[in-house]
Amino acid sequence: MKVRGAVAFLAFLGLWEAVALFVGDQILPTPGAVGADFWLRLGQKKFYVHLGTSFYRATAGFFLGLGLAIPLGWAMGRLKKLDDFLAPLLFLTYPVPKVLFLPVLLVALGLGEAPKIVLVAVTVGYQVLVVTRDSVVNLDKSYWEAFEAMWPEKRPAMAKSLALTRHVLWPACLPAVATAMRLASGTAVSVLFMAESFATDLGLGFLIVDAWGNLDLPRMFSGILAMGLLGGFFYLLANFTEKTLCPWAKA
Amino acid sequence: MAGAAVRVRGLAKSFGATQVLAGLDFDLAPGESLSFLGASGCGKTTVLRILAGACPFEAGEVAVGQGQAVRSLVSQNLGLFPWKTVLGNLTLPLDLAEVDPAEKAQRVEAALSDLGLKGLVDRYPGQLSGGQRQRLALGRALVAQPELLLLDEPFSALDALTREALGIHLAQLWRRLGLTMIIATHSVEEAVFLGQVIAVLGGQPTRAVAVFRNDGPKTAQAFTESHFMELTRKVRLALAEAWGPSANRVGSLQ
Ligand SMILES: Nc1ncnc2c1ncn2[C@@H]1O[C@H](COP(=O)(O)OP(=O)(O)OP(=O)(O)O)[C@@H](O)[C@H]1O
Ligand SMILES: [Mg+2]
Repeated sequence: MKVRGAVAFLAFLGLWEAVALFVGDQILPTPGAVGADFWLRLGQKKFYVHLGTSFYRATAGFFLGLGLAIPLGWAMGRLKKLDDFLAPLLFLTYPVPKVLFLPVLLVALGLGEAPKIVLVAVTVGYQVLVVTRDSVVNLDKSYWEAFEAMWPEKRPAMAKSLALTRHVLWPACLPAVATAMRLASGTAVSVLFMAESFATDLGLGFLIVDAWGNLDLPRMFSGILAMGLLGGFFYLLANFTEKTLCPWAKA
Repeated sequence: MAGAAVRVRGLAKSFGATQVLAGLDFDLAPGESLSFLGASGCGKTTVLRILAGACPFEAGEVAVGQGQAVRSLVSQNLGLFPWKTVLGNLTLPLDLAEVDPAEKAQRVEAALSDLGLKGLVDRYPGQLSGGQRQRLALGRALVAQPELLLLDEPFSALDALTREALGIHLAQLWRRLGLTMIIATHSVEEAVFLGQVIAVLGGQPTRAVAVFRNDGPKTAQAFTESHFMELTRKVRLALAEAWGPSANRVGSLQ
C-alpha cells in the first residue's frame, strides 16, 4: 500500500513535469519550480496569515455545519411533523449548488468573516443533514423496540431523549456522517475558494487570485497546493473520526 | 427473582382490516414454560409483543404477575446494538435502569458466566458467531432479572447441533432461575423439549387449537426417550391437522 502510494505519487510528478516541459512555464510551471516557491512561502509570515485565515474559515464552517445539521437531522428523523414540513424543502433545494448562496450571504451578512464561514457551513451542513436524517429514518425498528423495552417507565422523558440520542441515534448516524464529511471536504474547500476570491485580501483564495492577476504562476500553484492540503486535512479528519469513533464499523 | 403468573383471556388483535388473533386464552403458573407452535404469519410474534407490553390490542385481558412484572423479550432478529461491545450491550439495560454499580457488576458477571461469554466482552456483535449473538441476546434479556422471559424463535438462525446445545442450556437456566418462560418456535422438537405446556396455534383468526403437557425431564437424554418421541408425534399430527401436512415444514426440516 505504502509502496504503491509512492509509485503513484512519483508517476503523478513525472506526468506533471512532462506536461510542464511540453506547454512551457508560462502555462504550467514544473513541480520543481512550484516546490521551490512553496518552500520560499513557508519562510514568509504572510503565507501563514493566508493559510491560517483559510483554515479558520474552513474549520469554523465545518464544525458550525456539523453542529447544526446533526441535531436537526435527529429531530427530523424522530419528529414526523417536523419532517413532513422540512423534508420537501430539503430535497427541493439539495441539488442547488450552495455557492449560489454566496451573493445572498454577502448582502445579508456583509463582507466580513461571517458569509464565508456560513457558506462552508451550508455546504457541509446540507450533506450531513440529509444522511443524518436518513440514518435515523431508516434505523431498524428492532433497535427502537429494544431501547423502549429497556427503558424503565418511572424515569423522566427528558432523560429518555438524552439516553436515546447517546446510545442509539448518535452511534447510528456516525458512519454516514463520516462519509458525508469526506464527500464534503472537497466541496467545502472549493466554495471557500469562491468566497475568498473577491472582497477580501486574506486567505488562500485571495493569494491564488492575486498571483494569477500578477501572472506569478509558481505562487499561484503554491496557493493551489496549500488549498489542496486544506481539503486533504478535512478528508483525514473524517477518516480519523470514523476510525476512532466507529470501531464497530471495521468489523 | 421468581416467575410471574400469566393469564390471557379472549385476546383479540387486528392490523387494519386483517384480524390476526381472536379469543386466545391461556394460563401459566409462576415458573412454568410454554411453547407456541404455528405456521408462519399466524401471530406468534404478535402474542409475544403484546405480552411484553410493546403492542396495543383491541380486546381481552392480559395479566402478568401482580401489575408491573419485569418482562424481557428476545426478538426474532435479536435487536443487539452493533455499535456496542458484548459488555456494552449487557450493561445498557442496567445503566438505563440506574442499577447501582456493585449490583450491576454482579449481574453482568453472572450473565457472562451463565452464557459463556467471558472471553468475548470486547467484541462487537458483528464479530460474533450466530450462536454467540443468540447467547448475548439471551444474556441481555436476563440481566434485567425478568419474571417473564419471552423468546421469539430464539435459535432459528442456528445449525441443528448448536440449536440443541443452546436449548439444553436454556432449559437449565430456566430451571435454576425459576422464571416463567414463553417461546415461539417452528421446531416441534424444541417446543416439546422446552415447553411444559405446548400450544398449537391455528384457525383463522388464530387461537390455541390443541394444548399438550410435557412435564418430563429437560436434559439431553430426553430427546431419545420414548415419551418425548410420542409427544412429538402427537404435536406434529395436531399441527398437520391445523395447517395441512406441509404447514410446518420450516420446522420439521431442522
Ligand atoms: N405492523 C404490522 N402491520 C400489519 N400487519 C402486521 C404487522 N405485524 C404483523 N402483521 C401481520 O400479522 C400477522 C401475524 O404476524 P406475526 O409476526 O405475529 O406472525 P408470526 O407467527 O410471528 O410469523 P413468523 O413465524 O413468520 O415469525 C401476519 O399476517 C402479519 O402479516
Ligand atoms: Mg414471528
